[in-house]
Amino acid sequence: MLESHTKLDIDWEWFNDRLDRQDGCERIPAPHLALKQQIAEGEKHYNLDNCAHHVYTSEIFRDWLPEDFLSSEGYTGEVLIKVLEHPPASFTEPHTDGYGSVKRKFKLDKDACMKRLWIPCGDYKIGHALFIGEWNVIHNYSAGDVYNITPWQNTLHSGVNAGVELRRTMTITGTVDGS
Amino acid sequence: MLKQDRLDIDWQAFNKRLDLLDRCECNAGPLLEHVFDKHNIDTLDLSDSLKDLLNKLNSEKQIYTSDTFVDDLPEGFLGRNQIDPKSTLIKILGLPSGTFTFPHTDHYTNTKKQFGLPEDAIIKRLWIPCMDYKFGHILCLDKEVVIDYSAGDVFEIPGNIMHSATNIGIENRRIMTITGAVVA
Repeated sequence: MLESHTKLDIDWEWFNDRLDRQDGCERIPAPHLALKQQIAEGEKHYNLDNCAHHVYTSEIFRDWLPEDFLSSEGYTGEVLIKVLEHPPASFTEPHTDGYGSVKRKFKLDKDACMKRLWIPCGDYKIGHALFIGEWNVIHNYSAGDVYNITPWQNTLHSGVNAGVELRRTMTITGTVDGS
Repeated sequence: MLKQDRLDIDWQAFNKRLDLLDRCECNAGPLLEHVFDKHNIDTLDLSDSLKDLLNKLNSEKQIYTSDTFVDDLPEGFLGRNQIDPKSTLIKILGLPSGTFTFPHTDHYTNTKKQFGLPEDAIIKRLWIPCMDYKFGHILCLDKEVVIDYSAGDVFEIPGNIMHSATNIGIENRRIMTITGAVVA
């Protein structure tokens, strides 16, 4: 089972409150491109009804993190920080990660060495889970638990809010030293 | 929730039987307003858009029923699980990819109604996956998430604990529920 390797120790109540108020960030519908449909008959099962969610973006998310957090995780340059918000009854369809949007945004080489962290912004609630491959199900976590999901970028994974409360997760994606 | 037994039948043949609708019938999952068996859904203040989405997802599910499901169980199975065969309701829930059951607690209203049981009857529900665990197929039970099961593993779901099941994978999922009055 995939374990969190460290803690992003910030005031998550404060963080979520800022998101609620869109203070220093923007809440937009997740782009349709997020529907990657890499599975057979994907569009039949996963569509803009059950995969509709929002994403928070900000140029200053980095400033909301502890000063040494990104460097302690090995990030060497630009990072893209997003917060995904899934309402009850919404999913991220099974997909793999190519980090295409990050590479395009920062004009990175296709073979740039990348790292993605997955961090829940709230404690585990019933119905909230991240599936990675056949045997990894991330659940029963606390806000700020940090999971490095980079090794599973080519493994089918999906996320779900099959619960009754809003679910927010942060992803941090950027370049790291390949050596 | 503990795995408490095994239902050892030929699951491949059983699933084939469902595929062929052989001695069983299949209906779409009920609309929320017809889900009498599940407490919580009707008490939550759900937005109209969420209700619409849940109804859409429910309509994609399949509910298989049959007069012969109970008789087809191996001899002694209900007895050793303290369930009265005369008041047993068996359903198979088909969850296509991208569907789930909304978190709920169980009130067993359908079973009580069908068999004329009193409101305070002691009821037991067994939850049995019809196929081995696959990516995206979980059962959420309060803080517990059940994976790594095999077809035929028998779990008992306490009715008062909120639970939900998901299929956020790529293969269809089927679950058998056996609900009946507990033998004194």
